Amino acid sequence: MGVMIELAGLTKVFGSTRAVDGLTCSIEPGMVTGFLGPNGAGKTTTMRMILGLDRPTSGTATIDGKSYRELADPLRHVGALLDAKQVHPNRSVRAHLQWIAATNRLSAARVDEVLDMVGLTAVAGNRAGTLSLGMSQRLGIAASLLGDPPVLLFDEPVNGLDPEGIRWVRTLMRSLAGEGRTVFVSSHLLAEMSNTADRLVVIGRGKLIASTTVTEFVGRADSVRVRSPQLDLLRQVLTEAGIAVDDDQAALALLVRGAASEVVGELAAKNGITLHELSSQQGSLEDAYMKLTDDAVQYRAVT
Amino acid sequence: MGVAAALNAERIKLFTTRSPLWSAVAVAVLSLGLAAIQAETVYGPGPLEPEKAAMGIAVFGVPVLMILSSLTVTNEYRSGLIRTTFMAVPNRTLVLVAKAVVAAVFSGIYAAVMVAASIAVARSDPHEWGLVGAITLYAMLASVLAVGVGALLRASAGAVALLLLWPLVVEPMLANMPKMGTQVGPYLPFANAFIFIRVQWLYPVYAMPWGAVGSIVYFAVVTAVVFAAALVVINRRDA
Repeated sequence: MGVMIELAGLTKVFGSTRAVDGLTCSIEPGMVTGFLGPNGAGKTTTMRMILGLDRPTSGTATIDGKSYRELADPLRHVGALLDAKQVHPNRSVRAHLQWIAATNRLSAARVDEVLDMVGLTAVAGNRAGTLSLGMSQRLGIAASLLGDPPVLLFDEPVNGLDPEGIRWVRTLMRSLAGEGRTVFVSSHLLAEMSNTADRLVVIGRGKLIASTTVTEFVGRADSVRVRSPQLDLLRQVLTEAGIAVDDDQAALALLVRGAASEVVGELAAKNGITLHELSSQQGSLEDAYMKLTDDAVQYRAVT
Repeated sequence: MGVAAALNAERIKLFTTRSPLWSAVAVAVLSLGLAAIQAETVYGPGPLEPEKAAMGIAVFGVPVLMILSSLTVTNEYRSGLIRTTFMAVPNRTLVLVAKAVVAAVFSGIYAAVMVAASIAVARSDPHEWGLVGAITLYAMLASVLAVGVGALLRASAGAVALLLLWPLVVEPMLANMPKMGTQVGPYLPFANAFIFIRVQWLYPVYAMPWGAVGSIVYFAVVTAVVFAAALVVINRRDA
């Protein structure tokens, strides 16, 4: 049986800022759940509350029905990577894992095992402060895996990684979820999450915007671009079929939302409308995300 | 939560950085150096008194051990490692107690060795077990106090400054102020600790409201109050 993370009305207020505002959702086992939102949306604060580091102003975050602080030997239940630079720079890589293992009575053999899993065996004797960002990230992930926990939380794990590192993290998260674990990963990049996650929890300004599957989220954002010499007739036909249509002013085309290109093409053929272009919009995923979180972006450059 | 596991983890942490080694070297130089210099320049009959031989460890060595103890907390706040610690051991009281115990044991054992070594270097009376015990107890309590100060201040610079200025500058200054000195002096924590260990330093002799044992109890109470405040604060604040 997998272990669920449940947030119920989770709220954190710093002074006059509601960093996390009444967040309610559940994160399920056996899949990767992406935690998406612009910078400053409250993702890290939410994770810190799940991990018992910050005290919620109100509401609860529970793992398997218990708050983090109630877990005995918590590393056997939850593994987390918050910040890869959370190490003593002069302590060796192996010693860093050894003391963490000691807190939860995990064996020294397990330290060597996780070092091997993340490919750091060769640098186990090096000082943690000398590691590159990519290697620090691997060390942080090794620490999270020490207790072989059923629940894993990663805060922006691919930030600053090279393409190979990104692929490694992505593959690891997929395989951890494949083993039935609950994997909760935050990111501010939708493209990254649409590649890795099965479900998405989207927040902005601390509020829940969407909790849905990636397929549904992408479908919601799907749009089809159509050019035709009979644009007005096409618009009429589509609107009558109950399909939302936007004008694309610049190119004299229509942007059709919520319908696949097949549907649009068949409708056009049935009504004898000539089409000059019929294409799915790749960039629309980012657009939809931007649109969803637009009001929720707290800081932005004035253009 | 496992008390033994938390202690073991803090022991590993302490001995897998270089700070204990550097501190040990610094304390040894201060303690044995001062013992040797005094032994060379002693006048009058007989060898140097043991209390004088132990001046280096008591006056300068213990503050170095206090700094080491406070760094076990402040270094973790600086690197963010304290979050890893609290994730592994969510019982923060247990974390701070484990740090205090490990720091106190290290400081106590090392102080005992240094007192004995100082006496040997100065060729004083080697049968001063009372002195060894007193300074050991003082070093242990001072380390617990330092862990508490580290947890309250979080910043290394602040903790180090406080732990050096308090015993070495502020208390001797207050104790020697005209008029006020005799009123404030008996209630200064470190002045009391020095009464208990019988090491003469910059403190003038006052009429203490309690005996030597009372003095160390007073120092222990101050330590307990600071440590209790640190426990309340770390349990309340967000890590």
